[in-house]
Amino acid sequence: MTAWMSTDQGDLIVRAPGRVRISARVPVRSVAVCAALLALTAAVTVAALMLGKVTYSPAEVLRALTGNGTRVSELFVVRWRLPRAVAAVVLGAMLGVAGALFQCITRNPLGSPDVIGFTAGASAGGVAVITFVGSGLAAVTGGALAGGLVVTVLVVLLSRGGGTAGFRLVIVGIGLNAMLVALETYLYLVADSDISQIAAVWGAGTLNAVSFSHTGPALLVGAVATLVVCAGLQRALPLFDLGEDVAAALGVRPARLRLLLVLGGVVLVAVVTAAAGPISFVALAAPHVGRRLAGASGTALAPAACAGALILASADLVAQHAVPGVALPVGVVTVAVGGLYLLTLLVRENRKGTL
Amino acid sequence: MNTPARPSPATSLRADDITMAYDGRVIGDHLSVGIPDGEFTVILGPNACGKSTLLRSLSRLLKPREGTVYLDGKDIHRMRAKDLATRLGLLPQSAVTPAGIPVLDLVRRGRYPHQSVLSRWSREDEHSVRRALEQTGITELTTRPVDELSGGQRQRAWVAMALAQESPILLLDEPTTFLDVSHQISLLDLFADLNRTAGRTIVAVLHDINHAARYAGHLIVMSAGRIVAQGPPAEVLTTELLADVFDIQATIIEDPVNGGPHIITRHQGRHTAPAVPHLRKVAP
Repeated sequence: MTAWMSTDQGDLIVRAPGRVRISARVPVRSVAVCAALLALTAAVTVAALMLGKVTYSPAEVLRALTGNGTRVSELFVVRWRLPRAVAAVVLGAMLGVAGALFQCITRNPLGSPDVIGFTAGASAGGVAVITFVGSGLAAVTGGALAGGLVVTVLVVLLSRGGGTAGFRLVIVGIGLNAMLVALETYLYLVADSDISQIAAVWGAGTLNAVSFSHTGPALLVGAVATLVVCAGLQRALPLFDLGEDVAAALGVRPARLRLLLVLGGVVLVAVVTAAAGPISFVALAAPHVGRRLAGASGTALAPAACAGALILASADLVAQHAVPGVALPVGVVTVAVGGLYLLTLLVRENRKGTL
Repeated sequence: MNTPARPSPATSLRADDITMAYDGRVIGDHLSVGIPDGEFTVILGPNACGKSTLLRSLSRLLKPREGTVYLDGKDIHRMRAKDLATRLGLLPQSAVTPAGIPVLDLVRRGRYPHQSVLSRWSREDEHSVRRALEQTGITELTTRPVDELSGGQRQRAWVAMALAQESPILLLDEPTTFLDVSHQISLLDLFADLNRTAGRTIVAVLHDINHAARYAGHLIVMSAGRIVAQGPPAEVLTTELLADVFDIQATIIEDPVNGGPHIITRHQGRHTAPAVPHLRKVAP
């Protein structure tokens, strides 16, 4: 098929010739930004595979990945480091998309799952399940999902008078976050010390324990869910951003779309939380970073996914190697950096008067 | 209440005996209106009389509790959402401008109902967007962020978005509110041109009675959830109606510009001037 191409204000227009009704408009900058973010993510991933107790050169990593390496290098690179590196990329992308969906529904740049309490609720639910039931993936997923949903419903109910677009949602979320942290601490204290240890590491958000046998299914489900969500919602979201009435007038069914958005966001965060514990602030920051770089307005899922992958992969690299000899939970790094980010965001939004 | 002597004009869009309610609160019951094809219809009425609710019902944003809204003889709630959107456009008051969105990006989004998974940016899409920008006179502004434009320009960008939808019927909910008078008039001129030259059916909720009288070919007057009158402005606007519906004492004179009705209120502080039997003739 020969395509006709032209450019229009930074967009590449592709059309099939003749009467075939096939056409597309490709935002060049957005595509370039996504490609650059993915390239950086790949570089970070290679670094993660190289570094550790035994350091390998890129060539040795490549040989190990293609099955031509030594036994030891395959053990280190493929068995131990690869699952973790892949998990960081996939979970990061999922968090980025989930954050974009949450911010789209709440019409609030701060309305990400961490700020509105979903992540904290999922964390408390997961810790409760680990403490009282056990640390199987399915049980923890269930606990995280239930906890996240309960807290989200609470937040929405408590911020009802102010709607979800304003400051109230954020304040209520922060308040509930604090209470849930207290609850988690209580659970650590009442549990047996070895269980409490497992729960505490999980509760900080970590990729330390990731292996393909444990988190493989979650990663697969997550990657597929992310792609389905992006492909399915990508065309209607720009209309939802114009308000539900405008979206309806343009032929979208807003009630159905809203339900799909919530469902997609909740499932993505719950799967991430179950696999690696609550990893904060990636869902908050990734959509902003992606949107700014891509020069997009409103919800932009693909840049959010790419930015999320890069942020979590980098954060995990830092978590593993920042303190020599200690593998920090990645959640500690994202909280430390993300807390600063949230502060600057609050100050900026406050100055703009959008809250 | 109104029994037109002449044959009623064709009405593709009509509400048949609808009862409108929000969360159990009835806004208006058993309303029937027809929107004349190819006409500039204005809906008038005091605040909270149900004007916007009627517009929402006509455009499927609100499902009537009873009764049916028909478009081309079909129940609009049984039509496919996209099919309806190619026939009927609406610019609601609740439109949200995403931060930093360029004019062109906004206007392009109006093409959604004409697109499909495979056909995402056809030649028609491109032409419609260009025409909408030309008609609203904002071709020069395409790269500017909508939220940095003046109120009048911003409203034009939104109108262009609705025009790009290329629907034969366009509903506008208070399009001139919050604009200064020169922008109000230039926007109304735009709607009148769209109606006359492009043959679009326009329905607008307005607050200014004299603007309605000047521009409308068909008036629908509402009060407390009822349709009080519908017809040409010269027949509908009477001193009694203005007193009943809007609670104003007014004299109606002939509009020196187009010969239609023009209202002069007689309120002046605490005094209401007596009805003026003869007004000084205004030079044309």
